[in-house]
Amino acid sequence: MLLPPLRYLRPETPEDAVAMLSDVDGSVVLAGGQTLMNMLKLDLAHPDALVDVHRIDALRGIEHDADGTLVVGAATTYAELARSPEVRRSHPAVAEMAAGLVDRQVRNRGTIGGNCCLNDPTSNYPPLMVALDARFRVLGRDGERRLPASEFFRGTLATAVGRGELLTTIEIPPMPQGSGVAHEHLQVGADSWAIARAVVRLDVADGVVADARAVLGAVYGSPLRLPEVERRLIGQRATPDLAEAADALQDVDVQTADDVHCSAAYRREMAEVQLRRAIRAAVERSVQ
Amino acid sequence: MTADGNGSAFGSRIRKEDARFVRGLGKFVDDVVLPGMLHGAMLRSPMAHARIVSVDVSAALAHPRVKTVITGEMLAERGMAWMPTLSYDQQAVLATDKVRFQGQEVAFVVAEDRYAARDALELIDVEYEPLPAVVDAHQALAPDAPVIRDDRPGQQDNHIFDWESGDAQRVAEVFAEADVVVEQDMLYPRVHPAPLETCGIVADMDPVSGRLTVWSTAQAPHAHRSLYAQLTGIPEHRIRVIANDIGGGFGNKVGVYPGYVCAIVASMITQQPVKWIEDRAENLMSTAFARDYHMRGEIAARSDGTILGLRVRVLADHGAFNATAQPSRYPAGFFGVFTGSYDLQAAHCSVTGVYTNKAPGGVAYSCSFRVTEAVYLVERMVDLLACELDMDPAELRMRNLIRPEQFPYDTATGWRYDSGDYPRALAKLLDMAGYHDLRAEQAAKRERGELMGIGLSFFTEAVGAGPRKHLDMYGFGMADGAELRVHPSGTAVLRVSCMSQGQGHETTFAQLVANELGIGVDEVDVVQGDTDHTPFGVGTYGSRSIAVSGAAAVTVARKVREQARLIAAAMLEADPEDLEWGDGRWYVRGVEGAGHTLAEIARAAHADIDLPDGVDGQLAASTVYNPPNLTFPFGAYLCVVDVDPDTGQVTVRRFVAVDDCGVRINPMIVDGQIHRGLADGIGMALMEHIAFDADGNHLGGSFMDYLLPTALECPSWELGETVTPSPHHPVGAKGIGEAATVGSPAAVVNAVMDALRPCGVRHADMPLTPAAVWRAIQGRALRSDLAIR
Repeated sequence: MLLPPLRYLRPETPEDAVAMLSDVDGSVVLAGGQTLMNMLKLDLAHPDALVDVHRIDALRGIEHDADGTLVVGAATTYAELARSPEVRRSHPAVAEMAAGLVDRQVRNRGTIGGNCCLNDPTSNYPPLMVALDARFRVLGRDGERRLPASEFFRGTLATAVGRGELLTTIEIPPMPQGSGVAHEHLQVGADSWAIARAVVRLDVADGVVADARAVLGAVYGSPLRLPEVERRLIGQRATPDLAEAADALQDVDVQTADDVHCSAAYRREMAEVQLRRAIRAAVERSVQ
Repeated sequence: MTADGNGSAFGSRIRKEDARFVRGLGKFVDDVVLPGMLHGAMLRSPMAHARIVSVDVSAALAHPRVKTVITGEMLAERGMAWMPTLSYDQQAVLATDKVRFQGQEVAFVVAEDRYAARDALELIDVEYEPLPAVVDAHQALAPDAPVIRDDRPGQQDNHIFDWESGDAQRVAEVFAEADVVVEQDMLYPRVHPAPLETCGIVADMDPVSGRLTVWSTAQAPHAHRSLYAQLTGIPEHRIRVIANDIGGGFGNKVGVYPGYVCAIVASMITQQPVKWIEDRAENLMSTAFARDYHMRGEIAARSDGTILGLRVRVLADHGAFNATAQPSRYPAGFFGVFTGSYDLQAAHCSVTGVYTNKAPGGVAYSCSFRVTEAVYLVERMVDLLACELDMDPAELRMRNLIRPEQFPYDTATGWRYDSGDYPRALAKLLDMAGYHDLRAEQAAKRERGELMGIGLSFFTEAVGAGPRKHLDMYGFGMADGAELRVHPSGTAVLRVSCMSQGQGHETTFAQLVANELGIGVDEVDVVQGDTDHTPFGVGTYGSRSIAVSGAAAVTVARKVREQARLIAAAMLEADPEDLEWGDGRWYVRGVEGAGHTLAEIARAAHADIDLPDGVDGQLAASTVYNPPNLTFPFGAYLCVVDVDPDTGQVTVRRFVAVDDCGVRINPMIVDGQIHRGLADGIGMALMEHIAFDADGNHLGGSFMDYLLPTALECPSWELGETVTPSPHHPVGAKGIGEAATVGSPAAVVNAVMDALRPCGVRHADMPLTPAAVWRAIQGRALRSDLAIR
């Protein structure tokens, strides 16, 4: 429960950070520290150096491009997202997810980039980022890469961010007219980890689902996109009956595990329950 | 904040200590920093049961910042490898022969800073030979079960004790006459008191004076001093135990832990102060747990709902060492009050304690010695009976409650309840809750397939231990001392033997004294927790502070007031018998408004007036209060839940609590205690559980796994009160520290079971997590399919 010996580095710019991450062996990014510090204290992570990026101005802030794309600095805190009127207007699901993190200290320190880069199965943002077709800008020595969410999340606790690289920015395309996004999750306590999580986006035009995303969280690996569920949603009238599309989950190999709170079997059952609920809620939220 | 000596110091909604706490200026044990202070860290067993082949500390000793490493072998040379427990068992301070639970203490590193101490733990090489672990209490007495306590001469199995209470023969008779008998197995799971401040100590052995000073998180500082004297051989008068502010105890900080002893030994060896502060995982894994009662209840009744008798069989999992904290003659604590609040003809319980490869403890976690388990048992059984008879559970309770005219009431298991008006409290509860409307709402929801539940609990506690004749802790009678000194200016200092862990003693006890002496609450300071500056007593737990120490404070204040009468009489040149006390003054009868205040009398006591023979020139007294009986607070609780049928998630929508703790001295502190206990009850009923896997690995070493309730799981509490003063307490108080913890779990569980009635569910064990409730709805096995409880 004590920190091991570590170097602590505080770069001024994203480029400096990348240089440090490239040059210093065993260095990792420290953003809000809400997970990393716990992992260090629990002896679960063993870096040699922390590169603290949370005060780099270029990594913070919320803007909108001319086309309405939401551009969020990776070190932007949950609290900043939750209270931003612009985000609440353009991408309410992003603000609501931040506001729903129950712990004020975590909201004030934790960052959206940190949440995504951790890609813990129970993390809140990865499935939402997949559902919203977010793009991730990753800076390295040789310049910037831009990755879609589908390529960014690579597996449990793994992303496309390589050694010597830094996630700088998350871009979330404008929400199509009439789209509804819903996030449903189940926890034992309000401040405990998710047992099951589902995010559904329905883009509805003239009462019909033009496009859809259905994504599970709290399962092994990365956020699990469900193409068969999406196929059953697209082209259908946006009514609560759409929840039946969740039946397609029966054929999906949802990988999860037992833990002290519940069995893997229960998690899988609950994934389906949350998915149904998310579909129904997304229908309600879509503008028809 | 003034008082007139006629009760007006009661009722203030203040807390003197909050001024420092809300500003972060409390002084806790980890705030103690001494010159040259070293830091200790504990090496713990990774296995639940293993023989120790060797312990090699040479690499740790070679660490440049390590001063010493203490091993079990070193302690054995000093006769200190084992220490006595409160249950007259012995517990390893540092393991010498075997480790018997995961997290057991194996070696203690002392270094110049806490980081080095921790680092050096990894340099210790311990070779273990794994042994099969006993994890399930039901397997502990199996003929082929490994014997955990082979250190005990003659111990051939894992059996600790058998204890019984009540009349088995009489119970058999009433069961034979009964129209209905309902049986149920139920588990009160192993839970942890989980104070937010973990345990810790600073030990400072002064080699010059030969005095040992200990700062520690001690709910019972005087008892700790006695144990340290016994263990170390340092004479008791040269040991000073100081408990500064304590960040929650709930029973977790009653006993002495191996880390304390190691820090003391380390200070004796190094001749420097040594600090040891436990981390969260250590606290959750190795310090005193609570409950772990595997109960089988049977209740017998007539078909009209008259309860005739109750029979209970308990298997008690005490872990690797029997370190349960309870009065010596009560190995099952006060579980004998399991007849609850009902007028039964016969009752009997038998309790068998067993050893398992789990942490020792079994403390009274926010309850008086197993009263929580007892209340849960009887309140579940009454609800199951109501189901069986298809009677309303409120009506069934009302029919069987002990009636007011029956007090003092002698229970079928030999307890004398001091006072109560139970039907009044239940009627008030039903009225506050709008019970009939709730039942109508529930009926409508059931029509729609919604799962709403209404749960009741009526509890009687047995607190304020207790009369010396019957009750002792490790040989110390449970009386409490108090000393009061009034300074010449009329301000007073009260010294008490109990020790607050956040309960607000500094305020409540000042109010008690202010009330008796007619001075302001701010004019009374309360000294506690320092054995050099307080009289002997056995500490704060089991809701005994107000009931015993509080009574001592009132008694000593009245003694001082009588001294003041004699001095006032001298001042007024009157006969003491002609004086009356009122409005904060002694005055000559009939001359109200004249006379002298306590401040005037205090000044005179130290001045030049002629004092009568036998009167000292001071206002000061001491006393030891030996309570004639326990006190019996009671209450009626109602919980409303909604259960999500798809997920099993329980939402507590309302909680209505009517408490009768006798006279309330500080209503804000009383409310706060009830709020805390209700949250506690929701936590235990829905979330909290120390789980183990089949190898005895502890699965709850952090607050990510061992879940505590937050404000978000709690509704806005609805509190009500009735006041039935204790007939034997000097101000009629009974104690409130634990009532809500005792009474609320049963109300929550009864509510969930009521909600699940349409699903055909009769019982499911705590914690009623979403997965557990869902399994019950599905009609699947109720025990967790993963973790052994």
